[in-house]
Amino acid sequence: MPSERSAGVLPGGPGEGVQVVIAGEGELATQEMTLSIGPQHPSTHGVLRVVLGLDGERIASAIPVIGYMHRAFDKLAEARDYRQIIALSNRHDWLSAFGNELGITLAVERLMELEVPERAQWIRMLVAEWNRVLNHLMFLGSFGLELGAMTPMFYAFREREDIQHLLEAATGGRMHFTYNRVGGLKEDLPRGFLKESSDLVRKIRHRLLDYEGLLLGNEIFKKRTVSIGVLPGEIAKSYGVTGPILQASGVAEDSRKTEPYLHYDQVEFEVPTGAHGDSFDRFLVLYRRIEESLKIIEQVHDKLPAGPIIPAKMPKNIKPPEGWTYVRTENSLGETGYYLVSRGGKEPWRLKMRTPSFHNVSMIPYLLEGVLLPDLIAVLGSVFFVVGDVDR
Amino acid sequence: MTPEELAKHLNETGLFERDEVAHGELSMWASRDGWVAGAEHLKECGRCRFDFFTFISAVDLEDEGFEVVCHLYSVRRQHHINYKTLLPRTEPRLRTLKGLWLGADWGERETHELFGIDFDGHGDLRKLLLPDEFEGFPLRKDFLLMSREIKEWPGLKEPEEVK
Repeated sequence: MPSERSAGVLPGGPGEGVQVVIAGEGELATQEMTLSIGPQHPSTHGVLRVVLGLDGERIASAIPVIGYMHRAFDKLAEARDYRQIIALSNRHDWLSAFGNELGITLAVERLMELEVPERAQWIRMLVAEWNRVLNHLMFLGSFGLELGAMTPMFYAFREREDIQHLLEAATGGRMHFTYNRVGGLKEDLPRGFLKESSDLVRKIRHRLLDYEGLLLGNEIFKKRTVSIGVLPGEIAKSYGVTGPILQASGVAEDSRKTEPYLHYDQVEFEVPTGAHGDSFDRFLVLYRRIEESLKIIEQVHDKLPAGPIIPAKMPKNIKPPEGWTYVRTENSLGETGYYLVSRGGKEPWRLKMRTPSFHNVSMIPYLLEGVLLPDLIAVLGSVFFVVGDVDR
Repeated sequence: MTPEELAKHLNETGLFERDEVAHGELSMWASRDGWVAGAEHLKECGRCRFDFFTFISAVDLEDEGFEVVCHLYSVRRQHHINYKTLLPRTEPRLRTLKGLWLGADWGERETHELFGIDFDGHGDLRKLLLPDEFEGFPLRKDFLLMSREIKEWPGLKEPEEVK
């Protein structure tokens, strides 16, 4: 405030600005500073807050503060029947809705020992992989955006629009599909879906080359991400980190491969891994996973059998018998698991949802310690998470 | 190892109380006092090697108490375990597993705020998902959803009963 300044002191002149105290022999005395990033911050994809303790430009400690989007999924699920839970599980991770509903349907089907028709299983794989591409494109684009590259974001949304259009034709939803039913699917694929789907695979595969040129071969992008935020495989496993982040740390763990559900054992694909576990590797693995998903989609096109999509005789009320099970699926961002305890009722006695983003974010303190503040975004952006999936 | 082989091996150690295999999944129960010793064995023993922390949570069994569930996985051996223990309702208290798996830190904080289970030795059981001023333990069965306090869940009734 100019009025409060004494008349003799000029702004920026002597007596103004930061006082630097020289301590000892030419050493700068620094004071630890607390900087709160978020909850509203463009780089956090929602409402995540990170409280940083800064020593100069170096991050001494980072404490994530979560819960801003907590909506009590576990509690709500105890007062909903299973059809409602399928719709509910779509919501928390809005970028991989199909993967979420798939896990809970598989869990209920395992408890009920239901035989799911072949065609339904293959279509589930098809939609799950499209959903994975949809999710990864988002992070492929947004990671570039956070590092200052605008174009990949626009490209990603162009591709996402095509995929959402395709999935809308089958499921009726653009983001929240609610396409699964206990025992099978809501509806069969519409006529002409497979042709459009295979055209789109070709189109996206071709367009992926743009990203390769824009980001993976980009000198600035590499400078900002290579050897930044290195995560060793052992630490990742101990935190329960999964998906592209774990794979980038050199651990080829993917439940589609190690414990195949649906018919993932009948398709050929690879689990890409990284060599260093840095931000660049995480991005590279994400990119390679899209290529593998496209491979799976093409194989499903060839192998999709004819037949029903839901068993002819389904009980009106879904009441799994007494028991418990833990079903894990490789969702877009990692392992989504459901620990389901049933007491034979219409609603679960207890449904614990284990989400990949929760564990990814819990690892952030480890990753950020000792990192320079300007690298914060390059690290946070590479820990792929959706805040709804963290808070549930 | 298959769940049955794993159960046999673990029973031989004498650290666990009982086992159950259902749907091809193994559950092992330990006593409250043997919770950490059992977990240490699961992590360190060369035949188990549970290096991956999946989650920790609990189930409210009403009169029987709380059942704490910790799911572990071994990336190298590719087997799973549901490691469980039963806590009395009057004194829900357990030693922390924070020193064994880093993921237990947040998992136990979440279990503490949602079930009111204390983890001794954790040292940092601040609220994680809920606001600081929140009172009560929402995942206990005696904690009702606000709308359920006023009216019973209509879905409990069959459509025929309503007519």
